[in-house]
Amino acid sequence: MATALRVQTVRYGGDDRRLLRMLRSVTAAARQFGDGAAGSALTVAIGDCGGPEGPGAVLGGAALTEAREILTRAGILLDYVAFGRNLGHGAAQNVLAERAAGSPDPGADCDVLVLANPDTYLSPNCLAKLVRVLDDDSVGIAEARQIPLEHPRTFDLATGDTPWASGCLMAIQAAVFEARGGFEPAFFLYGDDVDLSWRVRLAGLRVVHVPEAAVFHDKELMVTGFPAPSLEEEYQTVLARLLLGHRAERPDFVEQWLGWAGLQGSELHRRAAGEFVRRQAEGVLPATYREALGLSKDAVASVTFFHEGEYAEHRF
Amino acid sequence: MTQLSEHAQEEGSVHEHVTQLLSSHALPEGVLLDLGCGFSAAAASCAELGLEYLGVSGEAADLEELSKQGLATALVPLGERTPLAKRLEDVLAGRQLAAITALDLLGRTARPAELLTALAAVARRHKGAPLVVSVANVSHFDVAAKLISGRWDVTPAGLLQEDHLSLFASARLEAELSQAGWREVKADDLVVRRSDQHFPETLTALSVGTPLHDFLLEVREHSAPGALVDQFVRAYLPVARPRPASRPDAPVFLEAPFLSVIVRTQGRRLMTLEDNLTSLAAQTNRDIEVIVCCHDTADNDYAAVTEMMGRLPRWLVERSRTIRVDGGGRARPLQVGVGEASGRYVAFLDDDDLALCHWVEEFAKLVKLHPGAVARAGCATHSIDEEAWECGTGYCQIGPTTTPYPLEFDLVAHLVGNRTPNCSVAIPRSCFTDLGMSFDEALPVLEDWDMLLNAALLCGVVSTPEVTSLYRRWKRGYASHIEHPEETWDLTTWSIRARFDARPVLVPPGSVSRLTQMEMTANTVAQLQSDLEAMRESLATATTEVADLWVEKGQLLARVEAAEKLLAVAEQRASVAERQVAVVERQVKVTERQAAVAEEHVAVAEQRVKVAERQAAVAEEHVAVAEQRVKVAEQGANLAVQGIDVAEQRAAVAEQHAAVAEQSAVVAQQGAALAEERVVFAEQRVAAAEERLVFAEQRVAAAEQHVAVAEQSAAVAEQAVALVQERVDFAEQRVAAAEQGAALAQQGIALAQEHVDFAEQRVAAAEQGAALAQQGVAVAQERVIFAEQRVLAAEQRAAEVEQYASEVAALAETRLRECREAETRARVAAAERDAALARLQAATSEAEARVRDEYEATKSWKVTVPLRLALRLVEAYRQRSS
Repeated sequence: MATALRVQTVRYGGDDRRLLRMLRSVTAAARQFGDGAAGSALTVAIGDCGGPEGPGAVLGGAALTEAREILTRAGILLDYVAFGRNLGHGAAQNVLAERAAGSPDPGADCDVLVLANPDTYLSPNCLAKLVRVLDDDSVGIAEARQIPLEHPRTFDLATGDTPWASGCLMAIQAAVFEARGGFEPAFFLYGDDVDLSWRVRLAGLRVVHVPEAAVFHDKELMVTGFPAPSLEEEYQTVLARLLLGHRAERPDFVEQWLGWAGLQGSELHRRAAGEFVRRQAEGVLPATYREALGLSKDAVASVTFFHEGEYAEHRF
Repeated sequence: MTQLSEHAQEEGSVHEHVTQLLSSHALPEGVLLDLGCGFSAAAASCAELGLEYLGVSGEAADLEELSKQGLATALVPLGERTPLAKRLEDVLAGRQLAAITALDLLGRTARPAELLTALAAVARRHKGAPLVVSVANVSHFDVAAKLISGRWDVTPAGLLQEDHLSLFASARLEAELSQAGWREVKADDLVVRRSDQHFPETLTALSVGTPLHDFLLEVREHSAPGALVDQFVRAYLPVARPRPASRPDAPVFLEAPFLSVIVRTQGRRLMTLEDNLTSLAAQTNRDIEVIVCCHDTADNDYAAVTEMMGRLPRWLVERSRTIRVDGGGRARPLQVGVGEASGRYVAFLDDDDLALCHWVEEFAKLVKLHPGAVARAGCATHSIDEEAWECGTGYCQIGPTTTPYPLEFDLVAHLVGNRTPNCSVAIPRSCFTDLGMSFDEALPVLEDWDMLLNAALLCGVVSTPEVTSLYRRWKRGYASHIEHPEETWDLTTWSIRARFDARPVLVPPGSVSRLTQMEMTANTVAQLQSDLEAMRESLATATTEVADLWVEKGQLLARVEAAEKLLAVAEQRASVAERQVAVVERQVKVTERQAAVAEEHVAVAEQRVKVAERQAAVAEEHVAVAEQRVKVAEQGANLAVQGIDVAEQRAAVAEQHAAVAEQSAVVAQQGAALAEERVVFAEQRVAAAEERLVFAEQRVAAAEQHVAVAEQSAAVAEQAVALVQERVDFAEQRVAAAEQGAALAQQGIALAQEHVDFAEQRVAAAEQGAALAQQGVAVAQERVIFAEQRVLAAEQRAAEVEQYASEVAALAETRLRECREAETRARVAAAERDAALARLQAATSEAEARVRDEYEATKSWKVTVPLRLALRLVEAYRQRSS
């Protein structure tokens, strides 16, 4: 079956060489993808959240040119959008997806969205394996296996079913993405993947881990062997936790993390907790799953999961 | 030449080696051309080989000597190529050439290439006759060692012969002969441990057994062949077409990459290999080549590997190749890979290792910092396990990622065991090419450790803690740590360590202080161990003492308890005694009351005496009345004259009155008897009181035996007794008063007697009645005296009781003192116990205070401020939610 694939990535500053490296890996993976399904088309969309200058500046002219060259050589279309400001990951991905759906250009239409971080490197087989899993209509999202550090989240060895998929690299049916309304923009950087996965599962579709599809996720390890967290990650992770707890109507979890942030958290953690309380006071928190999807409390509880700050059982 | 021969003869001679080579490679018959006549001394052996000797030289002087010995000679200048070949043909004059010898000739030739080329041309024309050369080796260890010390001693003959124009080491010899059209067929080099350059004997670098000599020899022997070769003795055959000349020292790769990555795989785990290659494709520094060494790989697996390699990004495909390696152990593919490598550095990955994206970049940074050193980066690890995937066998990470390996390289620690996974180092390729290092294929495991130590000892290590690679351990399936038993690892570890221990090694700067510290630490440890032993002993002693003290304490506590019990008993006894004293007091009071009653009785007796007196007075009055009646009777008698009858009647009446008086006297007598009885009763009561006092005495004595406080009670008893005595005294006084009263009554009675006598005189009957009354009073008096005697006896008894009570009091005092001493001892023991408890409490409080202080000093702001904030956040959330 011919499949039109759209690889979307959102950048905000960072090392442009990483983005170019990712694009190169897409070209290598596209060869396998093309081999596997004749007539398949591939577009790469880059959403640029960079401002005019500063650390998060927009992709430089030379780098943009090189990106275009890398893709053109491989016969891949580039859809580059500069937003002029930082929309946040989810909102930016939504805009990119809407451009494909709403474009009058028939070539822009796509069947599958591949959402990738710019600091990844796709293994040659990666795209082909993910897309093949999505041939099964019961699967909404197919998630790649991360190397060098695998995500510890559990998955079913036989079926690959997993509680949620990492936004590091996931493939999603374009129709499903559109039907679910894309990412919830209230999540700025983290947690939007958990939220989307849950909503896809609440809609009765599966989220599947595909170990054969490896993606190298460029993590720097601290001397302890743990990935080094960024400052933004510190803030956004706590905010995401509180928002997920709120949407799933788990006040115990919210209170736990508010307390944690106040007692043990860093300055950034406390600021994130303060931001959540402020949003609640102003009534601008996103709707709960029950309100938004018209589901019973039990239905929501059957999909959502909270334990020690995690959203799934972990293997280790 | 002579000196060389002398040395050569010690370990076999050049001539013997040459003869051996000729016997193997010379043509069966013909002429032996001995260029330079170096073989003349052994010309006799030519005949044995069936060869015809012909000495050829450009120096006539050389030939003269030979001619004298009867050997054939020919004078030919050896410097020019074309004429030389022709002249040699001329000299042969159509005879077959069997072999050429050129002993110690090349060194004395300015342009040996030309000579060798001419000889090759001649040999080719004569059925490929062989060439046997002997050449001095200037790379002999002795020369190298002396150069280290700055010495270059030219000698008339030998390795550094003064007339040598060309100097040879192995590489040059091979290059010159090869370029001149000769192919080596046999090397039979003359090995001489102590060459002619082995002087002066005392030069440290030359002296066997000195660390400098042994270390240099070790390095020299491994670096290139021929460390102890004195003369290269080799046989060559001419080749049909000589190869074009090339400089032996020219770099092979003009565009050599920075790093050659040797990936070792058996082709069994394609998934991990694919991840591994993906991690290489993701490198930020792409100045690499990748050599995938497929070790003992089946054909289909090998095909799968090459197919996978083809899927890599194009830039990496261009810089990668796969090679098949068959046979050998784990070291074989690494060694073969190194042989294929062209990079300035070499790094090794097993197919299940993963590189982080800055693996190459960090190596490059380190090498820039310290070129030539071994580069080492941090390495993390986690466990993986096989897992069935749709496409075949996959794998899965099953444990968290940790960094158990030291982040900095420490040579000493690495001598103990390997602490560096092979994937985290890059080794200069020069180690393999110039220092002769190699992975030891004899080792079943730990070949990487052996290699790392070899390289680290000579190159040093520059390291970064930055984690750039992941070493993964399989839970099951094929892995070296699973396949080989623990004994293999232990044995290999020991053998490697022993190998390094057997030779001198270079240690990096800082090792002196490290070793010093280790030695001092060892001493300190020994000292600490001995201290520990001593402390253990003293602890044991102290423990025993403590145990004893505990026992003693227990005993003391028991004694205190017993004393307390005794005290309680004493208190009980005291209270009993108090009660008894109270009883005694009550008894004394009773006694007092009885004494008072006795007094009252005495008073009553007195009153009775008074009554008796009054009755006596009445009796007197009656007597007086009787007298008056007597007078009246007289008057009546007078009157009786007037009327005797009346008088007689009247006398009868008087008699009747006297009878009445007599009756009154009897009544008085009865009253006195009653008083007497009352006194007896009082006496009985006093006796009873006496008995009670005796009883009290006994009670007091009993109280004394048991109690301390008995003294007080005894005193009280004493006072009570004194009081009783006073009362008794008072009673006595009263009795005395009663006696006086009785005496007065006696006087009254006597008076009454006089009156009665008078009345007797007047009236005999009245007189007799009065006498009777007087006798009754006397009896009462006697009874009073008896009572007095009894009182005195009671007084004596009381005095005795007093004395006994004082003795008892003294005894009670002694007992009380003993009891107080026991109490004091108990109090001291209790105070000691309290002090110990107080010390314990103080120590506990101090420790608590210290912990609290520390906690306050470090944590207080962290605890209080965030706590308030946390509560505020949760409260705000709850308020909003509600």
